Amino acid sequence: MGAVLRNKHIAAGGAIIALMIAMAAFAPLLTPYGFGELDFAVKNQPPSAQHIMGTDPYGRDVWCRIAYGARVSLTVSLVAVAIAISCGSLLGVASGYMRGRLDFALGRIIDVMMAFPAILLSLIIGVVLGASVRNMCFSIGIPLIPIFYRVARGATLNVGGRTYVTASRSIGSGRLRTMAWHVLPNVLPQIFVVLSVGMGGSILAEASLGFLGLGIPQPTPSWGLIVNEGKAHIFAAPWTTAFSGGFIALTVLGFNLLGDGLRDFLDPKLKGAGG
Amino acid sequence: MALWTRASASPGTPVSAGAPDANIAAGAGAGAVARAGGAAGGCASAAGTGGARMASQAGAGVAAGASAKAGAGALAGAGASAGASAGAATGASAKAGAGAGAGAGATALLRAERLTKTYAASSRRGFGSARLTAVNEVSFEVARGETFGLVGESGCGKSTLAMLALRLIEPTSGALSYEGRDMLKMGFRELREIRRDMQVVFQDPYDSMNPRLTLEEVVAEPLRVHGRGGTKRSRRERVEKLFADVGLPAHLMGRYPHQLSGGQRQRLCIARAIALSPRLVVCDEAVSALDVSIQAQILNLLLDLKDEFGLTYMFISHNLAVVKFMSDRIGVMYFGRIVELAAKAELFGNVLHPYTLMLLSAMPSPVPGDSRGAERRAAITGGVPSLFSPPAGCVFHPRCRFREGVCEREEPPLRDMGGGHCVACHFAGEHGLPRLAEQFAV
Ligand SMILES: Nc1ncnc2c1ncn2[C@@H]1O[C@H](COP(=O)(O)OP(=O)(O)OP(=O)(O)O)[C@@H](O)[C@H]1O
Ligand code: SF4
Ligand SMILES: [Mg+2]
Repeated sequence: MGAVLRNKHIAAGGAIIALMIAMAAFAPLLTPYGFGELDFAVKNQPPSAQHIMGTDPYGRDVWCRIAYGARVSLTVSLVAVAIAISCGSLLGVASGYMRGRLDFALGRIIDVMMAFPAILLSLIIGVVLGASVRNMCFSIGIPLIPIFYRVARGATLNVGGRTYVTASRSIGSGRLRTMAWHVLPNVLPQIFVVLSVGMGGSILAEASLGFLGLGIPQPTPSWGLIVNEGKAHIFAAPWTTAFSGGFIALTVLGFNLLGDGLRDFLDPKLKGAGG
Repeated sequence: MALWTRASASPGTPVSAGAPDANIAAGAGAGAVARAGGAAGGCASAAGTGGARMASQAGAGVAAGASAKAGAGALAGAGASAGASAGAATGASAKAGAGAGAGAGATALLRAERLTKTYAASSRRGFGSARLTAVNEVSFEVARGETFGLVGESGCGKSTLAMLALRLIEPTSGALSYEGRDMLKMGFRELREIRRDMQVVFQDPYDSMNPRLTLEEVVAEPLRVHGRGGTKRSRRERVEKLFADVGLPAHLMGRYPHQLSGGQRQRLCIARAIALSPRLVVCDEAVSALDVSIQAQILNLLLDLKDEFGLTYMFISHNLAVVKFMSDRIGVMYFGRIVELAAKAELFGNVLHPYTLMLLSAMPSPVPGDSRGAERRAAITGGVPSLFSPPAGCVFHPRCRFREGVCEREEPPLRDMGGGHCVACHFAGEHGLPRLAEQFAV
């Protein structure tokens, strides 16, 4: 564990994400207001001592809504990316290593998925499954699968041709074992690099779904929802969008650092170099 | 200083058919028993070298370092001539291989018949896809205890043949058996059992180890895969022993492959290859990526291990000098085919195929101050034709000095010229190839 944290990227990225998670968990302790409390007397107020991030057009405290919104946004995007990474990389590695019919079939399915804009696919899945936090994870995660599938497959085609993979077969190890021991570990670092793309994408997708009415039902806030609501009043109350957008950006940055750090950490050639 | 020579002798064969020179170390004679051949016109099965190997070592107990140096010299063509070394080896303790003379009828360990591998490869001009024949009807046998050498230019299909022999790729046609068992009919489980017995060392030591495993894990992998080695501790002891066997210090066990030099990596690959105590080790260009001096060390290591563990080698290289140093019997490959196949002494004493002659002439002369080198090297002409459009008739004819009309029309079969010396040339033995025996004596 100490070795992991000595990597500066991992330490910084991990700290940001840990802070976000803490914020979500301890939201009630961090703010004196309730996330749905309306107070039209203080609508569209700029940041002040009472409302450190200002208020929105309904007089709700923006900081309070951001802190609570982290719960939904982080949960949904973490679970969605977990779904996308696990499905995408397993299928991608299998496809790239086994080739043949499996590769062909999976490739066509992925092509079809990629033919739809991700948000449309999310919408369709969202409509079919219905609006709930759990279903949202799927409707956001599934459209992200092609990203990870393609990265994993591409990397596998490269790794699969390496002599050490042939050497493993020559020893008598089966396909599953070869994939688990030699292919996947050498493919994962490249997947970590696109981790941040997936995280950013899923937080934004959550926002768009909320905008289209398929998000988390009101009044539970989510970051995407806050950004979208703020957009309508961007001139009257720019702080709403600025702060919620800032948190999204910071979170994406955290995952970005974490992804790069993990890639370096897993590279034995850089061991001890510490990023 | 130790010069290793290996000659095969078989009872019932007149010693000497092609060993006119006295330099053949220990005078062990040449020639392999010709066996009634299988499908491939008498040359499918060639050898009968069941271990009548003579290892003459100059002075018992010569340090390994010294032997490495001698090897390096010989390889670089700069050191003592082979003949001189052989002379120095008189008085050496000749160590007869186990079972000398008993090898005549030994069954082959590995036997390939008419192995063919074609690849679909789209031609560059884009006219659909052409088929490329990387290995074309190749037959050979590897007898228990011998080193079967395979030599040929880059791209002639050596690696493909090695992969076929290990069934790491599926042949397009042909037959393959290990100890008489049909390898092509084996399922995964059976094949896995066989893989314990046959291992491989690859050319590129930089690419043949998973960069994310420690050296200990690399060497322990075969033990794990086959559930050998028992507990973690006993497995570690086994790995330590293997490290010692290949001359790697045990303190490297926790390192990663990128922290090793090329030679050390190749030692590690060898340790992995012998971890399961295999019988057959296929070395595909095992030393080609290394410095000449390191090459010699690795070659000597391979020879030591062969003696210690009774290994059989299939030794592949584009370097004739290296193949000669290592092998008992040699197959010369050209353009996906074996064009000449004979016991070492026979091959070097009695070259029958023009292509072999060409390879020989490219070899640095072992005789110091021999000025004929340049002249002989000039004999190398032309490039290898495209595998997409093989020449009609004899595949070698575009480069052959001795070609005649028939060569462009008919493909010469691989014929047994006696004593298991097989050649694919219409005029084998007729075109009076220069006798190069004095220069290339074993
Ligand atoms: N998977 C493949 N697909 C298409 N062509 C291939 C494939 N593998 C090998 N070849 C072709 O087959 C021919 C023989 O290749 P091979 O690697 O066996 O040669 P080689 O004698 O080992 O050469 P080298 O000395 O360079 O290692 C080459 O022309 C190569 O391009
Ligand atoms: S068959 Fe003809 S072309 Fe081919 S090697 Fe013999 S002499 Fe040369
Ligand atoms: Mg090769």
